[in-house]
Amino acid sequence: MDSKHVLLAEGINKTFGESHVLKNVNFSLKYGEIHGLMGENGAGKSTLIKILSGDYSRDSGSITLDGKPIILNAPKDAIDLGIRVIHQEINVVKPLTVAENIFLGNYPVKSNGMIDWEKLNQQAQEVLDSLGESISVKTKVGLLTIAEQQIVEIAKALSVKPKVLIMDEPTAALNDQETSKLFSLLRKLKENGVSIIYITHRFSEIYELTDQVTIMRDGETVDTLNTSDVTDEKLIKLMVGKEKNSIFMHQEIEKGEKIFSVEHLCVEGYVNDVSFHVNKGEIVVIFGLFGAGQNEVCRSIFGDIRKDNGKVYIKGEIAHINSVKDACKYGIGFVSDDRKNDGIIPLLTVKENICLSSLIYKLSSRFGIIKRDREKSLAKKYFDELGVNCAGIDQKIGSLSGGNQQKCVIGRWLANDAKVLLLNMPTRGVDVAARAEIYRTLEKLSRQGVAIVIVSLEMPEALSIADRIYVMHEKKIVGELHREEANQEKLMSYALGITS
Amino acid sequence: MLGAQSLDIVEVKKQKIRKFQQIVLDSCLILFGLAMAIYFAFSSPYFLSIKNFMNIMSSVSIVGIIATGMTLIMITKGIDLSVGSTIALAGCVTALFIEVFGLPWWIAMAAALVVGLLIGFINGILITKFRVVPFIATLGMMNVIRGIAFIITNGQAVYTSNSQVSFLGAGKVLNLIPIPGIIMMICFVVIWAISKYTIYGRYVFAIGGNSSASRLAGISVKKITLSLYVITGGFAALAGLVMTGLASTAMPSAGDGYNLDVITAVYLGGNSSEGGEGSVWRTLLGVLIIGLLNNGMALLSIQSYWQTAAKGLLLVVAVIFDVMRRK
Repeated sequence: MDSKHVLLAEGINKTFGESHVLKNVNFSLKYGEIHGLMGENGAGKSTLIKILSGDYSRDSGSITLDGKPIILNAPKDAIDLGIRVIHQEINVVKPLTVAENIFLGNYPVKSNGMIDWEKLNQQAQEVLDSLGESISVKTKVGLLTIAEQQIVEIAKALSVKPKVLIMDEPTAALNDQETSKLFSLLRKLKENGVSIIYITHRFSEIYELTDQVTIMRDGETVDTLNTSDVTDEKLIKLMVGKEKNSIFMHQEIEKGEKIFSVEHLCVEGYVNDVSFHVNKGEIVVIFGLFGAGQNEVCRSIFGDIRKDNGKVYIKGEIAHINSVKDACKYGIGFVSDDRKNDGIIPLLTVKENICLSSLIYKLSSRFGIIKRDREKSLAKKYFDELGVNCAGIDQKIGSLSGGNQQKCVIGRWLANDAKVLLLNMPTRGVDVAARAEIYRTLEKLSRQGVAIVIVSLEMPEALSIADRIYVMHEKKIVGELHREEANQEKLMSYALGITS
Repeated sequence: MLGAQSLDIVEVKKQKIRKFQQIVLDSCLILFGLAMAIYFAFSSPYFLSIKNFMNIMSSVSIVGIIATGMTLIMITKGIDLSVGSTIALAGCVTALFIEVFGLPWWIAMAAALVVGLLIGFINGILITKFRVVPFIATLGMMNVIRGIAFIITNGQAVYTSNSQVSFLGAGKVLNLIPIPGIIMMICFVVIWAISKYTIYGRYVFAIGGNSSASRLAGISVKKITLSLYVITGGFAALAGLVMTGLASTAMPSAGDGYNLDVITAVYLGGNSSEGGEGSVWRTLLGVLIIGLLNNGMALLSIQSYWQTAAKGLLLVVAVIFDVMRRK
């Protein structure tokens, strides 16, 4: 086709079950450019990358490299063709040396079948020299800083002379100095003819580093622009698009007094001086990009991770929480985003799952014997109230659909008379119908005086269910929006740290 | 809504199929036990006598008593390899206290039980506080305890003629039912009741099914886990008293290999190798099958080497069945 592009993806489609994750995606990468890729959580960036790197197969569409159509069945195919990905999480083998990591799985061998260490170290040195790096090739990678480990990853990728390098938020764990060093390294690679796809949430990096930027939204590539033509407003508009139809519209009621508040919450490395509160009858959403500290806010309030500072008040009274058990005693419930690992106990029945946290408080008679009749009626009550859809309370919970499992996990806290409910992405992996039911339940609970705090990564969800939205950006709450004033542009610009 | 519903109906069907498979496998196990019993009955006229049955009860009791606690540990995906050594140390402590220090029998027995509980406590601390995997923690303790048993007895067997200790091991009610068998059955009933009716029991299943979710549901996972090792240590010490009484002698080498017999019994009855479910009655079935096998083969004068090989084979077959059922 045209000779300007090293990589060309056309009409890529991908579905997972019923959800259409990539819709007719077109993406082109020019020779020797750094191409930014942006989009909110779930826009389809990672899926696209995984298809380009052979991790996922595509349903339809074509990919050409150097003008030739290519087939990618496994990550190895992509690597062999010269497409390398550096993931957000660093994949190094810590007990091995720098040289051993760089040529992992590809060691030079002497004629007697032994590894040629001299050659290995020498070749590794050459790669590092070409990057202008002074890390010793014989150092164990585990002893290096994160930034240095990342350089090892880059060196590893470069050891096979790639044509295309894909980087997924590489600066997330780096400080400013390390970032600028990485940037000059990437520019050098670009001069040497490597084309780079660079995924980031940071606008400043787009301006500073990239030549072009492509914006994705809802599984589509919305636009590709020259970086010199873009502005903050333009990017946000493209990322957000039109206001979507809400899946659920929360009915407002008159707000009451403050029933739950958190003051100056700090968790070293994750949460920096976070304060917020919930009034009676309202649903509060904490919005932010993935990993901005929302999960740690919930878990530290719940006593699952240690907080370094901060006070929690329930109905005006201070709650001293040092463990999950304390939190349960105070009537705080937590619904994790990882239902399978942190929520359900698959081999126990629906009844046993619902009653798990209230056994010692409500269902215990002498010698810790379970009051079985009470257990049954308690489980049945929340089973009915939440509309769990299955054969009965004696069915094993592991065999239920995601939405029904989630209802039971929420029911577990209601059975224990929760006063505060912290929900981290409660509708993840839940079908649309069950979603609406869960929202309706939460709305009802908030009216009954339960403080509801929902962590959400999805703007339409946040906007449709929240009375008030706190936006987190890099460990801090940077904005507070009432439902009347909230819109997607505002949320996004707070979450990206542009407005503050 | 409809989609979710039909999905759940499919799941219910699957569950029913699984239940059916379970029943078939259980029946196979029981049939296997019966077939073995019938074979032995035809081969040896003595096998079917009440006296022999009581013999079997008595001989399986040591493994059986410990297997009750081990069942709970294995429901939480743990294991305790130190129980065989605890049998020896508890026996030696009792015998030494009575015969060498001249202390009353009840102090000696109490001391033995305390030793067992303490061993369990150390196991539990290693596993919950220092996060050593149960296999390694109890493997290390197994040798430590065995060593201590040899050290305190100087490697010699300690003879004890104490009648209370003998009663525990060799006594009979109505001149027929062996005391060890009764102790074992009490242990089974108590552990069954705990696992079925108490909050503690429910927590054990919850932890085995998903320890992270259990922690986030407000269960003190570490305390419960620790307590299971303490209980099992206590049972192992009790078994040690029974064994000392049965032989009128405490030997520092006693109980060698019993840890593996206990673990075999738990799996053999069809308890899950992945934790989260199980029952002590299954364990009892496993204990009885091992007992029948040992007894029958002994009556037929088959060398004990064959018994060892047969037990090993049974264990592997039992776990293969469990894995197949899980697919």
